Amino acid sequence: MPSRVVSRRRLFTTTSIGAALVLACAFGVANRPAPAAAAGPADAGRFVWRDLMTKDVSAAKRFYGDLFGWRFEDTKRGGRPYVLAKSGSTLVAGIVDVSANADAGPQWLSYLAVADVDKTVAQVRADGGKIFIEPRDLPSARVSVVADPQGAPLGLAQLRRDVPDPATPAPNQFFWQEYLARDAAQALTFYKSLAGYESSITDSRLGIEYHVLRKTRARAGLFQLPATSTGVEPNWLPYVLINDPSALAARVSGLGGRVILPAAPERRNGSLVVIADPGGAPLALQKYPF
Amino acid sequence: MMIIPRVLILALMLAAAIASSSCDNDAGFGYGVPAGSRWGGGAAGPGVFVGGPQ
Repeated sequence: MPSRVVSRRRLFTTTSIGAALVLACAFGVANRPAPAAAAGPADAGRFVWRDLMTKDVSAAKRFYGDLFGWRFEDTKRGGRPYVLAKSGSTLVAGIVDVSANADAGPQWLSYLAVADVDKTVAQVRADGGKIFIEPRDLPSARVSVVADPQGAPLGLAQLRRDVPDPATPAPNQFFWQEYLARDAAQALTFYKSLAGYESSITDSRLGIEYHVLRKTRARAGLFQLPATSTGVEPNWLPYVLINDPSALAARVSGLGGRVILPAAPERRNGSLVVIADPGGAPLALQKYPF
Repeated sequence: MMIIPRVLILALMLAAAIASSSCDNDAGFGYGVPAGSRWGGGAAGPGVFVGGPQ
């Protein structure tokens, strides 16, 4: 057989193999969900992902891109547009368009790793919570979205693969969660049971007890909303690590956002700013350590 | 004959790179839910942020 024919056949075979690999991945053959495996004890209790629900994805991309230097990749989930955000090379968040959902308010939805999402959802239901998304399989996890008994939305994820858990948080990335409770005692009982947290009070100034929830290490804070605090309902507030929150806050309004709580000496030595993005989703900017 | 292995290696590397890039896209979850905002319009926030990250 002439060598030119052999070369063409080999080239065709090679190209076919390559194309098959690409198609297999693109159509999910390589990513078919494996049977749900229990997250390791070290995983349960970690907040492992955040999705922004917004009615203006373009405005959100401009805002977070300018503010944090995030870059974005347009993808799809279940045939619907889904934007992935990266800080450097690290995937940090997703952006979901909820403009077609009149009942969806702008907010960050945080995902908590649990050992068994089906059992956790059953517990949420039994304790008076609401199930938005029943447990379902995705390539990376078995997930559900619920509202806890106080109405705070929360994602649950039974991980199928390791998610990096850096001991030292990186700037412009999420690193902490805080639960603002209408009933702190109830919330403590609920989340300690849900995720196996241990808790301790680390501050009690202003008559507010600040509880730190620990699982392997500190994972989140929790405190009671004052009775005088109107307009804020129980929620999980995500924190982004920022070296100079005040300097960044000065740019927020120019980018279409709003400063909800400016830095103040009585709030963690001026190291905390709470902002809302152009859509209205709240987010905390925190220097750490402070 | 030397051209064939180079083409083969190049094609495999290209396919692996594209496949790897495509597989990265399954990160995240992407659910929007009918949950209203928990910070009402114009809410000033509770202003009592004691404690803090550990």
